[in-house]
Amino acid sequence: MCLSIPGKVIEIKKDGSCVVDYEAEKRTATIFTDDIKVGDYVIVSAKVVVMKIPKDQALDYLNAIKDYS
Amino acid sequence: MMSSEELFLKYSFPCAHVLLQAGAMTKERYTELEESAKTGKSLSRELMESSFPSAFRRLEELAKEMKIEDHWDIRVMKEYWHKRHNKFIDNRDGSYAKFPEVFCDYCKVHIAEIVDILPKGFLMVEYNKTRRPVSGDYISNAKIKDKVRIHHGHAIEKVDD
Repeated sequence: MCLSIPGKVIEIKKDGSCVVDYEAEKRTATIFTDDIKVGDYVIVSAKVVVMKIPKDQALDYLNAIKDYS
Repeated sequence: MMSSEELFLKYSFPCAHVLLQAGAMTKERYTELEESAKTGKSLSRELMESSFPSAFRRLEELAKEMKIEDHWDIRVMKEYWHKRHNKFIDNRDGSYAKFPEVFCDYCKVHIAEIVDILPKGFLMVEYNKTRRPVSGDYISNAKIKDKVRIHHGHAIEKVDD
């Protein structure tokens, strides 16, 4: 599944993956870069972290799609 | 060469998840689009138009401007995804007005260079000093230094295709 919304990294695993929290669910994703840490907001596509997002912009975006038109 | 329908779906499918999360698309429709994007199974034009109304409003405007009757014409489709799509974002057309800068950039189509071949069918690409992984599922025989167009988390097509 393509997840074009940000989730929060809540755990980094030793195997190079992380757990991402989307409020309604949690998903595991592979990390290919070395700049991801717990607390970061990220976008995941096909079970891979594809982008790190500044927290303020992640929260703004989540609010924006709530009243999407 | 890709058909108009295939081109449109490959570029637009990553946006479907945003529509799903926003409540503007049903889970059933999302699953149908996902299946088609993965397998190449054809979908009707009507189904795609009803799934992405904003994109087709822009395509119809563009077709008129190009003096081409059919907005599904491959020339209109390529002009939209290769050139105009980013301008609509720059102009904060429609819902883009509410999106933060980083997401507007994520929504743009970028020409990127492949700098590494990653596991799981992913490619590390670089554009405008940004380096990030994208799915390479749509790209056959991807090689380092190839130029690809990317949209959201996907490489969509080689630039020379």
